[in-house]
Amino acid sequence: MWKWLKRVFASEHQWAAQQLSAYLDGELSPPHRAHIEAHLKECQTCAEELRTLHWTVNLTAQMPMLKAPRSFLVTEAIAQPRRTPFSVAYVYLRSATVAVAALLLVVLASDFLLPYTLPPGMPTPQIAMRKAVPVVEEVQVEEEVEKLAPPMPPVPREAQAAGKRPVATPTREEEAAKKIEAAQVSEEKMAQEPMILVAPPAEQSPDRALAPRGGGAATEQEIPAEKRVVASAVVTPTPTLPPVVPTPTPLPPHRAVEAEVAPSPQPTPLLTEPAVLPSPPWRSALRLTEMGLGLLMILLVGSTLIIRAHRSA
Amino acid sequence: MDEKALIAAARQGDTTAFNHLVLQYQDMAYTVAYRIMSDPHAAADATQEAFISAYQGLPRFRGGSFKAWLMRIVTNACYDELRRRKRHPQSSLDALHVEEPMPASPLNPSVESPEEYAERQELSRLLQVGIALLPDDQRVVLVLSDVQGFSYQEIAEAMGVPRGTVKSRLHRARARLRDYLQDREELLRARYRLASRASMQG
Repeated sequence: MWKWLKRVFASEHQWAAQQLSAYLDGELSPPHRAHIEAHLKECQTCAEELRTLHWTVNLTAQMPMLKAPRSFLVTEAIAQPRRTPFSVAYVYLRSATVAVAALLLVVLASDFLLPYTLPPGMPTPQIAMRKAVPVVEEVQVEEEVEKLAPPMPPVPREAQAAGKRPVATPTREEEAAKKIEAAQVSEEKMAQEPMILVAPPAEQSPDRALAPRGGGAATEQEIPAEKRVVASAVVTPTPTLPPVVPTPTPLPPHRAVEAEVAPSPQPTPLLTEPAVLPSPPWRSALRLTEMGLGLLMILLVGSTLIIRAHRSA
Repeated sequence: MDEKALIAAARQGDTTAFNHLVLQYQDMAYTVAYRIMSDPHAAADATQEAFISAYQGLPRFRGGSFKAWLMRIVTNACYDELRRRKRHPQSSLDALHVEEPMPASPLNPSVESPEEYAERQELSRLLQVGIALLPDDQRVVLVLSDVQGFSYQEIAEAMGVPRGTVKSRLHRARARLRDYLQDREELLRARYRLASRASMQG
């Protein structure tokens, strides 16, 4: 118990010792002042402490007021505000802060105001790309076929008339079919117009029709007039071959795989609703700019406040 | 013109009005600066800086105690000079070889004799050495309180610290100065010694 009392008394003594100067100056509240006075009656140490402090204060109070060695009057020239490094830095920092703040506002406004959606009725780039792909693929297939297929030899007419299909590799069939079709078209045109092998008999004598050229011996056999006329009437059009339906040319293996993987594109109707585009690459750059300006803004504001505190101090 | 009128005129840019205030407070400002700096040249520079800052800062003065406001500026000027001297430390002996400046009040034979005047000057010189050995914060509080007679509230405003901080710093400063004086009590005149009843009553 004595140790507890000693501990309590020690803490109270320490507290009282700390209050002696304030007690001396009359700066304590009435309750604290009464407590100190009660403690001083019991504690000789604090009483002696108070006495020595009082002696020190009395001696210090006797120090005289000094006379200014010169005049410290202020003139207009002296009173002009001087531009210390802190004040110069403060002006520049403040201007830089305002400029960065304005720039940041402009960047933020452009980020929010620029539209994310397209106007309605406008085809999306994805659909346009789908439409363009089959054309490109067809052209590529045709080009590859042309590269792989060697040039076709001219097909004789006798073979066409006989209806024989020329023997060709699978890659040449389509090419051959196209040529056959072209030849048929030209024959049809020729069949519609009578073939005139000789001049009309009423107009020309046979001898004159076969007048040799160049005065030499006759190179062609003389054809009797009756036979010529009959020949002209008998000429019938060349029997046409049945139309050859070109079979689809099998694609090379690698193109066949691609055809299986990529199904043939089907035209889709245009979208009428506005599509949401993915964000363009420049928007990420805009976001980075915003972050950089924000960090710079924080740095400038902090520096400006520090410089301002130094100036006021 | 009273002080408020001078302050109002000075805020309008009247340099003459402000110089009236300078003449009124320059001795006190210089005394505070010297007691803090313990160097007459540094004290003069700090005092001049303080009055220039006060003239330029008058638009920010919002009333109250002009003396406390001015002493705050003087204290800040002294702190700046002390920090500058710490960056370029001088010899520790310079603070001890203080040359006591001329007192503002000349010798008044009706109040004290020449011997007493000389003894008071010697005491002041010894006290100045003891004050110069205190830490900066304790020194400023002691000078404003015991040398200039400022209240705790005025000191708190001048230093920009809480009132409780003023109380604790002042107590520690007085205790250290007391220990310094007790160690050199033989240098004091008899009437200033602790053991003497006359020094307690003085």
